Amino acid sequence: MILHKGMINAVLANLVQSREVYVPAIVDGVAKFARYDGTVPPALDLANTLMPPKDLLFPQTQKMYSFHLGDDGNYHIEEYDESVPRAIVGIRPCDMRSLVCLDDVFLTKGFVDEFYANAREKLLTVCIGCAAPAQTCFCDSMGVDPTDAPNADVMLRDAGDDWIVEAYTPQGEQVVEEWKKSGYLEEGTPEPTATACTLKVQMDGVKEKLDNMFDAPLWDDLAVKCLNCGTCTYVCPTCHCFDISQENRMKEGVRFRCWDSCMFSQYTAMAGGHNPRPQKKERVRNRFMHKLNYFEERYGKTLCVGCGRCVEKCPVALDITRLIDEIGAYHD
Amino acid sequence: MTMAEVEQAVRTRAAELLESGEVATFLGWENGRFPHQTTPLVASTAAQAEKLVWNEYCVNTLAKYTRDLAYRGRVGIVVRGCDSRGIVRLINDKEISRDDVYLIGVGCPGMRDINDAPLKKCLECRHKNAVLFDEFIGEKVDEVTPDGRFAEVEAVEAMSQKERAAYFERVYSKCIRCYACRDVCPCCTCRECFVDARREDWVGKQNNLPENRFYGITRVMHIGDRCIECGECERVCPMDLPLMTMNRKVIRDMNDLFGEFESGMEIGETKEKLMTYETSDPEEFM
Amino acid sequence: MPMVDGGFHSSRKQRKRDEELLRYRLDPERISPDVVSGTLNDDALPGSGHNTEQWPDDMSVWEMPGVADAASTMRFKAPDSWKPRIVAFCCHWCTYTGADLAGLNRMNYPADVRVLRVPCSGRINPQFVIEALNKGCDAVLVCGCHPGDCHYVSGNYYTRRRMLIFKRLLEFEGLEPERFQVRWISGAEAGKFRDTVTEVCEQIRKLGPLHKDEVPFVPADLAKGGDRA
Repeated sequence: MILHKGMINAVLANLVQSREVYVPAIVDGVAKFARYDGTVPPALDLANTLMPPKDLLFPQTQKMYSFHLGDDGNYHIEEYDESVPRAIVGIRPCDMRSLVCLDDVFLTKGFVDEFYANAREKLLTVCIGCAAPAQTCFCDSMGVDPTDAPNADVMLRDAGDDWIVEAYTPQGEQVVEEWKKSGYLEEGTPEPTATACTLKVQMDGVKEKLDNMFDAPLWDDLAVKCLNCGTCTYVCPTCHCFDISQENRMKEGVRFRCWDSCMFSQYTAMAGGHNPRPQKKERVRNRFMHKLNYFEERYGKTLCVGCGRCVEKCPVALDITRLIDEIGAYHD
Repeated sequence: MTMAEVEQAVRTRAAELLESGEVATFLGWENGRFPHQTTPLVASTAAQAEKLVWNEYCVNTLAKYTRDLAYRGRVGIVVRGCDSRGIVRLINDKEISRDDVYLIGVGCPGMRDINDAPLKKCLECRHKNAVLFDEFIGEKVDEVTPDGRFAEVEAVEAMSQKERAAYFERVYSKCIRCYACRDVCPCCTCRECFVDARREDWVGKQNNLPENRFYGITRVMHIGDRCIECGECERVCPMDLPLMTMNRKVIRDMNDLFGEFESGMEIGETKEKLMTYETSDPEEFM
Repeated sequence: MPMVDGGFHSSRKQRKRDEELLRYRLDPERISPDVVSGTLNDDALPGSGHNTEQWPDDMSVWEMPGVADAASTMRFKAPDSWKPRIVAFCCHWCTYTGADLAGLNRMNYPADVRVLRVPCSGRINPQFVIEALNKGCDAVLVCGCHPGDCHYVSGNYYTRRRMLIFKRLLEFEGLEPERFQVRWISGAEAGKFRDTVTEVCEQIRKLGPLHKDEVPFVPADLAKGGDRA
C-alpha cells in the first residue's frame, strides 16, 4: 500500500482525533517535535529536527510525585501520571533506533521506569524514512538503515511522491487498517528510494579497542577544546542521564526529575565534596566511552545512532566521527 | 599579507616557539571535518603546528582555553581583537597572568559560518585587530566601527511593556539550560557557578520559565561591566537566543549613566563601572 | 528556607525572640490580633489543590512536553481574594529603624508589605529580587540609607549603581516599573516609610497579581485564613 505525500494532512487530521500528535516543525526558528494543532505546518522535508524526540517519553522536567503534610499530621503522597495517548509522525530511523536504546535503559535489567513505560506504551510511532540524509548524518555506519526502522509501529518508506506503508506491530496494523478504510491509501508497489549517508565511519573493533584505551593520551588533547556545556547531551536522542530534585516550601513539595549532563562539572559530585570526574578530560572521556564502549558492554549495542546532531551543534566542532577515526588509527 | 600568508607565518612561528620551548602548547585552529569548518587545535609539538590554519572560518574565540592549558607552561595563542580582549579580561580577573601567554596578534577580516554567511558577531565587531600582543603578524585591518551597536536594544525598548514581557517569555521558554553561553564566555570563570551549586529551592535544575529567567538575568548581572562583546554566547546558543541584546542593554546603560567604558582593553583597568562608584552618580531613588 | 532572620544580632536571645515571634504569627489558634508591622497575608488559598490544568489552547504551538512548559513546577489557581504580596528589603541601620519608628508612632499603612532586614542595602544580590518575584511576590522594594549616610560608608553607593542597572534590566525584560522600586529611607523618616509603603501597595493593587494564571505554591499552613494583623 502507498500513501501519497499530499495526503499527509488528512492522515494527521485522522490521528488527531484519538491522540495527541507530534510532528517535526520549526517553532520560533528551532526545529523540534511540536504538537500538531493545524496552526504550525509540519516540516517533513527537514533531514531531522534539532531537538530529539526523547522529550516525549522522557521530558526535560518531569514531575514524579507531590507530598504535603495533611491536617492529620501524616504526609500524603500523590504520584503524577501525565501520560496520554500520543503519536509521533515523522520520526526518522535513527531516532527510532534511539528508542530501542532508551527502552533498554528504562525498561530492562530488572527495573521498569513507570513514567517512561506509561508514555512508551501510549506512543504510536509513524516513522518516515529518509531520502536525503544531511551531511552530518552517519547512521548507516552505526547499523541503522536510513530508509527503514524495524521497531516502528508504522513505517513510511520514501518512494518519490509517495510513501510505501508498512505496519510492523499490531498497533500499527490497526492504524493502517483505519487509513485503508478512510481511503487514504492506494495500491502500488513503487521502487523505494535508495539512499546512503555521505559521512562514513568504521565502527568495527572500536568497542574492543576502547577496552584498553582508558588511559590513552588522546583524551587529554580532545578534552581541552570541549566547553563542557550540555549541548551535545541535550540534542542527543539517546542521552538519558537525569537528576532528581525537589521544589518544596515548608510542608509541601514536588519531586521531579530533570535532564542532567555528564558534561556538567557537578555531574558526579558527591555528598562530602568528592568528585571522581573533576576535570574536563574525565568527563569527555566518560561521554565517549559510554557511547561507544560501556553501553555496548551492558546492552550489546552502541549508544550512538549516527543522527549527527552533536556534530552539527557542537560549538567547537568536537566531532564524534573524527574521534572514531582516531580510535581506529590508534596504536599503543 | 593575505590570510594564506599569515597562516604560513603563524605555522612557522608556532613551530619555532614550540621547538625552542618558549611555549609548552600553542592554541589555534585546524580544519574541521567539513569544508568551511574549523575547530580549535592544541599543538604541543612542531609537527602538530603544521595543522594550524588561519582562514575565514576560524569562528571560535580561543581566549578561555588558556586557563586550561596554563598549568602545562606558557601558552602560545593566535589572537584577534576578540581573543585578545578575552585574554585581557582573564588577566584582569586574575585567572591567568600576563606571563602565562605569548600572544601572536593578527588582524581579522571577519569570519563566516559553515554556510558561508558572515557571523553576526563579526558584523558587529568593534575591534578587529589584537589589542594586546607580543608580536603582530601581517598588517592591521582597517577598523571600521559599525553603526547600530545598540540597535537591537533599542528595537526591544521600542516595544510596549507587554510585548517585551511576551518576547522574553518566548526567549526563556526556548532556553534548554545547556549552559553553552556560560561555558564559552571569557567572563564566566567562577570555580563554582551559581547554577552548579546545589540550591534546589533557590535556583533549581527544572527547566521552566521562572528558573530559566533566573539563570538568564543573573548571568547578565554577574557579567556586569565585564562583557567584551565577543558575541560567542549568541553564536554557541543552540536555540539562537538573543543573548547579546541583554548584555548590550547593560553596557549601554552603564555608558549612559556612568561614562563610556570598554571592557578588556587594558590590563589593570580601574574604571569598571560596577566595581567603583562616584558620590555624584545619578540619583533616581530619593 | 528558614524565615527566621538570625542576621545581625545572632545572639541566642535574639534568635529565640525571632522564633517566638514567628510562631506567634503563624499560630492559627490566635484570636486577638495585635499591631505588628509587616504582617502576613491572609489569603484563603486552596489547601492542597495540586492543579494540573492544561496549558491554555492558544499556547498549543508551544507544547513541547516538559521542555520549558513556561510554568512553575507547582501550579495553583490564583485566589479570588487577592491581596498584594510585597517584599521590602530594608537596611538595618536606616530603613528598618524607620519602619520601627513608624510602628512606635502607630502610623497606619497596609499590611501587604513583608520586611526583610539586611545589614546594608549593598547586601542585596539581584538574585534575591528575582527569587522573590519568581516565588510569589508581586513586587519588591529595596530600601536603604541615603547615599552618603551608609553605616558602612560606601555600601549604598554600590547599591545605587547596581540597582540603576538592574532596575533598567528588569524593565527591559518586561517587568512593570512599579514592581521593583528602590528608595532611600532614613531612620527618622517614619512618615516616608509609611508613605512609600502605602504608595507602592496602591500601585500594585491597581496592577494586579504578577502571576496571573498560576501562583507558585504557598505553604499550606499559611493558607489557613484568619486575620493576622
